[in-house]
Amino acid sequence: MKNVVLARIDERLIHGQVMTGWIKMCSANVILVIDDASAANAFLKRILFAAAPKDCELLVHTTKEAIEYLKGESDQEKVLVLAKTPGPFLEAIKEGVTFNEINLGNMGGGPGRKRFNKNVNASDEEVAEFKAIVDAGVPIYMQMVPSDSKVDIKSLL
Amino acid sequence: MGNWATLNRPLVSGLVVGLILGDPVQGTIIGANINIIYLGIISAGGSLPSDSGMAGIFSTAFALASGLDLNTALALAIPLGLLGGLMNTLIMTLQCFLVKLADKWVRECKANLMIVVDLVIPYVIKYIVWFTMAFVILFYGSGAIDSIVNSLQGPILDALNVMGGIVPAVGLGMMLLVIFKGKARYFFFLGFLVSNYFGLSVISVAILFTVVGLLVVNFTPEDFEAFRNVDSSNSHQYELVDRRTLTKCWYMWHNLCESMYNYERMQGIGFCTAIIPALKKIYKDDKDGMVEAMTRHSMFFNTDHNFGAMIMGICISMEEQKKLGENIPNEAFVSLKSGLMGPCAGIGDTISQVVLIPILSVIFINLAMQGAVWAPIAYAVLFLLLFYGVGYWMFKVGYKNGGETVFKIMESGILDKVISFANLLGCAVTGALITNFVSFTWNVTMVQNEVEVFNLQTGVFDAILPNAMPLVITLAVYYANKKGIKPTVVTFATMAIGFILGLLGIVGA
Repeated sequence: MKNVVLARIDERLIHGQVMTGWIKMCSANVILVIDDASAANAFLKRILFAAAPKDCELLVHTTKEAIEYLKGESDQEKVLVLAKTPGPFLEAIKEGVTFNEINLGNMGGGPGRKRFNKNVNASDEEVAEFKAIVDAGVPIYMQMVPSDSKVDIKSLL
Repeated sequence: MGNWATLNRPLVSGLVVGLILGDPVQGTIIGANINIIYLGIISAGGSLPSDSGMAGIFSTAFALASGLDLNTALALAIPLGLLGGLMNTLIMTLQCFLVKLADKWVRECKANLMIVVDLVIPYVIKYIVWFTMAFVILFYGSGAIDSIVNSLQGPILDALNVMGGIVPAVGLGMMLLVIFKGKARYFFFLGFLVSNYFGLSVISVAILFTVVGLLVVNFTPEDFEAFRNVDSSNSHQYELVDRRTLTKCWYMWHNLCESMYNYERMQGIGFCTAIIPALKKIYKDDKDGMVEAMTRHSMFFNTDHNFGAMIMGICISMEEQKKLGENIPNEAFVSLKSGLMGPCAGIGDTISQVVLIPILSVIFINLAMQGAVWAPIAYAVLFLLLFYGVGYWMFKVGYKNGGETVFKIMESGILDKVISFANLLGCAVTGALITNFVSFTWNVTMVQNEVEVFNLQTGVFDAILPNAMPLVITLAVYYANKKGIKPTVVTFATMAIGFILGLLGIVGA
């Protein structure tokens, strides 16, 4: 099993909060983006590679590939895992991948989504996915940047 | 917004408040000192732990109106900044309610009304909130502060002075959080040592280490290859949208993108409002097309103002192609925008908030502390030019060649070199700032027969490494933050330690 230093749900994947805060905080050397759409789209992939800091290895995987990667043997990797929604994490947990906890960054508002808390908006299915993850014994904490305090979402479900 | 780089900085607001209250020089000096605490504050993607704008405006006003000394003003700035941070959260939450109204007007194709919901109503809300707060603070606060000031004497005043002396270490320690890594760490100690042993000023250290940094990072002509290719790809026929409309869209984006900043869509409604002039040209006879376009551009969006301006440029050219008959589905816009907003913010936030703002402000803060009234003005002008310039260029490049140039620049690795250069320079300058702006003097002496036989400060510290304690305190702040202790806790703990040591008389003012 790979050494996951941070597992984060963030609609915007690699952006300012991740670049200026989290990568430095957890001194990751691998960024694993789990997003089926980005993995299948050469343009989106290119943008992610252009944006990622050059001293980190970047992997853009589908959920299936990512689960395989995470289950692989651990070497020197310190992996920061990013996904846009809770879905991929739930799937990984079901497949036997373990996370100590999941960090909840940003999820924007849109059709079908309701305001969950502060900067997190979620659809009914996504809230159910949060619940399933928490029920599986992996706590989810809302925390936009490292200097914010952690908020356990258990009481909000 | 331009505000973030200008009025939000205590350096600039200090001068403005000083002008209003009739003492621009003192206002500038106080603002510059407060700004040091906020050097390391980064607001990425709507996170704002503490509002430096609020801290700068109100504590400078109090200091000038009630004749507070500098250290008391510094102590006051910290809670005011936190209060400002809370108010921002409140405003961003309140503005979520406006999203419904914006959506309604989008559905009804009321393009001209969008400016009302994006700009007018939010500003009315903001003015009410801020005005009420300013009134309460100034009305009730100044009386309280006057009586506190009158009772301040003796040991309490000394303790406040000790506290004011070490508070700048909080800002410097937080700044290190971003830049203290790799090779740059050595330059932090070098900057500290040269300013300490040779008495070099911050400006001298900045100039010296610019040369050293260029040498270490080693820029090559190939690094600038991507910029050179811009001109050749710069021919474009304006079809549905003219140059004037484009400039208008960019200008609106720059100024309106966060006027209705809220937790649901972030800059979404601002993006829609800003792109409307172009959409009106493109879909002038096509109401359904207009509504569709406004709907897709009012979705969740959040990016850097300057780097991200490119995204709007690309969107306008795509809208144009779509109207001209090309088959561009809705999803293409959605995936382009959501794919680009994060990366653009990642690079934009790093370049502006990690590289440009701290390093350039340090230089101007240093000048302003000596009472140079022109320094805040020069700082504001320089930043507005830089940000407007970069933003406009990005917007145009996005419109003209779909951002290809920018991707090439991002892929070339030049930005990483720029960032390592900035880290190195920032570290050296922070080292020099410690020597110059953090003060801590042990007041531990042993006297025998009225002769001083031992003095911890002059006899031990000054003999080996003067300013060793400011260095230790700054690094302690850095490690505490790195260990995940909340900045607010670190700040108040540092203040409390300073106050107690001062009260006990172990440390002299």
